[in-house]
Amino acid sequence: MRPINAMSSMTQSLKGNNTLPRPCIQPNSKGIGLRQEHIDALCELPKHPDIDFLELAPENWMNIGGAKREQLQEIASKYPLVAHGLSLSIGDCLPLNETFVQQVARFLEEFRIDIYSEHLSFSRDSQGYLYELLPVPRYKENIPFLAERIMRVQQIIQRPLVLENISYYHDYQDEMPEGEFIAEIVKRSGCELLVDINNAFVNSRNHGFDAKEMLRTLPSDAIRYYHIAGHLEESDHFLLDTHGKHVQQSVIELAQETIAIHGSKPLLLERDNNVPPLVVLTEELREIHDQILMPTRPVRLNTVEANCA
Amino acid sequence: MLNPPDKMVSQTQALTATIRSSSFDRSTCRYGEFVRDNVMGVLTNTYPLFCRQLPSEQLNALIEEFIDVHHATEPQFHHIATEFAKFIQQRAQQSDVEHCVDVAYNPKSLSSNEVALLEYEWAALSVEVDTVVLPDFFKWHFENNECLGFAVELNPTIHLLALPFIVHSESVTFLTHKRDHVYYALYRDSHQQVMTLALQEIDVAIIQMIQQEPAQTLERLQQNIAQQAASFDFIDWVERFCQLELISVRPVGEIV
Repeated sequence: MRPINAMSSMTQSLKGNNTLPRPCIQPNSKGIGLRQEHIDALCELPKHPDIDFLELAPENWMNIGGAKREQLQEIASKYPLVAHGLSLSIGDCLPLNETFVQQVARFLEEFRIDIYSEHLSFSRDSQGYLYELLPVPRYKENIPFLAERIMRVQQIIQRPLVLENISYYHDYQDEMPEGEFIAEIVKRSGCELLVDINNAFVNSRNHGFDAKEMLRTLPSDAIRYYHIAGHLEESDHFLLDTHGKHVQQSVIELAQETIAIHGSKPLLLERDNNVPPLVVLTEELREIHDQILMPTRPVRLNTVEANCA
Repeated sequence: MLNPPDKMVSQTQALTATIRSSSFDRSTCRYGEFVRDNVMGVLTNTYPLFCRQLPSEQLNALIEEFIDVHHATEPQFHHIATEFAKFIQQRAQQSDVEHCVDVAYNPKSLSSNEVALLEYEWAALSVEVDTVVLPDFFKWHFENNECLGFAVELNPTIHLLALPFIVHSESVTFLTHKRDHVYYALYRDSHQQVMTLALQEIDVAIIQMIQQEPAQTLERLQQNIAQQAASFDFIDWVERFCQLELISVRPVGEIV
């Protein structure tokens, strides 16, 4: 008896965790989201010089084997990763789903991911999950409850939770200004911030406030990185945060102002719809990054660099 | 842990109640549309055959009912597919009970064929993302009967299915007789491809024998089969299914 065409690709292609690089994301780093459309190219090609890091939704990769897992191992061996979650539902009124948070923590450890960002939103009611990022009512009396949940998450994941200002399409009555609400949550919980510049722009237009004023309210030291994206303007001038178009010049200008206020931080270009080829998206990333960083004040190296081994 | 303020509970619950309601007003509640679009997007990606099988009104009505009544417990957005499959199965069971007590026929009900199609696509998804690590598959060429002392194990991703349809690459053909079905093995190969393999009854019987007594030797398996199908070329079967990576064969003791 003799074996012919012995197959051991699985064991050969899986790399041990110790081969993964330590995340090394600098304040002037730039990245894109990890999209299905680009996975083959990212696996097959050498590291792209314009991509300093990739952001992924941990939920799409946790507890998943097969080809996807092998692809992620390959990508993680080339690029530092940032985890940007969708399912935490930090702002719901039910007991925190700690099982889920523990799964996220294991995933972060496995892929040596330092940054775990999520949305300041909720996705669940007493019936169950709704799979959408819904706005949390911005009232002072809600802050202690939210801060306690954030601290519990931080305890489990053993790092600061990085929260993003969402784009929202619903107003509760007489709410606190968004910037003040977020700043108070940071103060009470010790969380960090992912500032989505397009979301601030979209919200300011839809809800009638000054985006720059809102951004100015946020604590600079807490900001871990920025998101930038394109939006869709509907016929009634209502804006939708679609991540489906080039970034508008007005958003780029707001990004320049944001960096003038808060300094340079890693920048992530989001594109989730009408996703162009990798070469086109990276070109856009480079152009935006150049435009935004040109008129900036000196770069401040912050805690992100300290994570580079 | 602190309890949420009452007003926070009532306000968030009011928003989600509006979203879940099929009569939501698009101009005041954009989220109703977003949630339905999210579900539709996942379903058309994950269950393309099932979605193509249904008229769009029926699919929309099912999504509406899913959002309205289903208790989704899995947080991940991609689990919408699993939650929808659970919803359809619960709905089918409920429909069976109602038929037993002679409740009027519901025109929104899915046929058993349609439910089977959804379950097939769900099983394919499960096989694709199964976290199990596949063993090495050696493509044995057996000479004489020297392999009989070896033990056999199944591909750990295998799902055995009896389907009321024939599976083609991008479509299915439903069988005309209600009681007819075709056996299939759904599994992942060493290239991480999901394979759908039509099986004969004897294949199913042997696979079930392996499932019932894992890691048994080929010799023992051959003896059991010979009692029921004396002329069956078992060694040829083993070689063929090793090639297909549905089973693997290795020395006794190497299989846990």
